[in-house]
Amino acid sequence: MHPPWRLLGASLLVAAGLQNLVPMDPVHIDVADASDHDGSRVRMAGAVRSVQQYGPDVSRFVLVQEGYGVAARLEGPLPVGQGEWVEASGRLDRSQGRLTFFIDALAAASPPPPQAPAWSQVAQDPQAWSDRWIRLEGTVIEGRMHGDGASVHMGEGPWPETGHVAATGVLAYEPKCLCHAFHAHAVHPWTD
Amino acid sequence: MDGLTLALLLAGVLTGVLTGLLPGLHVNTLAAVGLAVLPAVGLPGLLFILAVGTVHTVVNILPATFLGVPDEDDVLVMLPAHRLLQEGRGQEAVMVSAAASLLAVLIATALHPVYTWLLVGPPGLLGRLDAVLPVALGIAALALIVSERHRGLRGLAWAVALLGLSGILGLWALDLPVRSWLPVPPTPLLPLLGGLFGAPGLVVALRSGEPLAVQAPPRRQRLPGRPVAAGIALAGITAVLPGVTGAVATTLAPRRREEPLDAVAALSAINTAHAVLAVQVLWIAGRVRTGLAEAAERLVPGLHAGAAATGDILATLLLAGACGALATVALAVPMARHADRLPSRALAAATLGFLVLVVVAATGPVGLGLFVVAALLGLVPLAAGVRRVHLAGCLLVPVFTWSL
Repeated sequence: MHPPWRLLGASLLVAAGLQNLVPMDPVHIDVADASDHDGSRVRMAGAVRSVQQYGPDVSRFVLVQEGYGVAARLEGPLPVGQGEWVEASGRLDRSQGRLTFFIDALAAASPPPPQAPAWSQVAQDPQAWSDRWIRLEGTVIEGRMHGDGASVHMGEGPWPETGHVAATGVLAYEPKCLCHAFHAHAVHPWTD
Repeated sequence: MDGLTLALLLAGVLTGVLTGLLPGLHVNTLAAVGLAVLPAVGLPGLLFILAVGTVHTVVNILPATFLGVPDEDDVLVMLPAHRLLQEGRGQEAVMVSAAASLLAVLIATALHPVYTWLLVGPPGLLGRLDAVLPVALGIAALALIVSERHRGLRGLAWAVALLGLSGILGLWALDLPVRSWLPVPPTPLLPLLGGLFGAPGLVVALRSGEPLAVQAPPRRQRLPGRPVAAGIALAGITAVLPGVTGAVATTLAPRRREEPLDAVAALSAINTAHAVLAVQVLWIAGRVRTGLAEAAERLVPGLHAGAAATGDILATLLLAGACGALATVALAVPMARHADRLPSRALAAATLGFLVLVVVAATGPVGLGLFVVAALLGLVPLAAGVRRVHLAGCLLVPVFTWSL
């Protein structure tokens, strides 16, 4: 048997080699691939929805991207609102059996170009357009955004009282109203 | 129970016996594989998984003892059990372990109403136990170090060094990007613990080539009741605590070095009771604490909300525990009879090769690198002449830092 110091040195040497060879930075993944990286440190980008604040210490929300979502947990208050686009890094792990993104760092980020579905497409199948970064154009009247014979409940966002707007954000099912609501990241005046 | 349920239950028992014999395979990995391949059959599927998991936690004392390769939860049981094997008392160790595990299942299921009352009734222990963890872990670490005092300052220094270094290795390992080539979530614990606790013993056996001692027939033993009862009580606490696996639970157990059978009994009882009680914690309080409980929750979402399955679940745990104990005792006899005749070098080489294969398949090349680092560190206590139990820092330190 080799002397213990020699074995210890060899162990440290191999560990140093592994540390240098293996990229330790969190790998950037899509939300759709989150389950393949269970237990790993990752970076993901997406929109924020279904925010729940548990006192000042814990924020829970769902990070959504291209129709996929993953539960997320952040220590402290959430610095962004619903419908905002963020980039976050942390570890994917199980909490109460549910895959959860335990976030170390989160910041608002530039969103990708939105998809622009027609109102008829959204009205016909709102679930298919939920959790996707979309742009809708319409008219704000009494808490709802109207367009082309359809309308959607307005969620969080910088909505005006009334007027024609182009809004970018995410559509999400809200149990409170048993309806889909559109949480806007950005709302601009729109003229046809 | 209907015919399908009973058939799945028996299939689960048989599967648990087979998987329990595979060295290094942990019940959490099984649960993940089970979820991936089982059709969504609800409660019968759940009972299958529970049967596999319960039998596995009893039977896996066999590879831990006779091959010296434990899974995550058996690392500390393996040490006294394998030592007893080398003294020719391997069969005795296995039988004590099986009896302790069976007793743990019986008591853990019989005391279900009491456990429910303690956790969510007037005592309300469910929320209060979380604060105990950092203190308990600190005491366990101190106890490990102090146990080397008979080797003087050198022994104490090595104990501190190994506890600290294995703790740093544990923290570092958790951030390594391991990737699995199998349809199971990758975990660095497999190469970490396989390297720290499994590989060194196999390497020594490869080098020495000494055959195992002739195994004596087991002497009539009274089951050490006090260590078993203490183990079950400890498991009742650790089954509730976040981040505490069966392996960590065993590090918290007080042990007497001069009585390895007591250690085997207590640690086996903790392992089995922890697995069984974690399932109960799921359906008492909806808290998931182990891979087995997670699989249960995913097969039957909202399990904790209904009492309808209680009878079937308790019956499954009892039946599986009894079958697992019987199978363990039955298999120990031929294994012990042939232990000294087996070509030890070939057996060690085959086991080490199998372990490396599982590590590579389940964690990729990064996992293999971690395995090598851990194995080299795992050889240090053997070379320094101190106890390998100090390497449990790889579990204690990460859980301690999270619990703060």
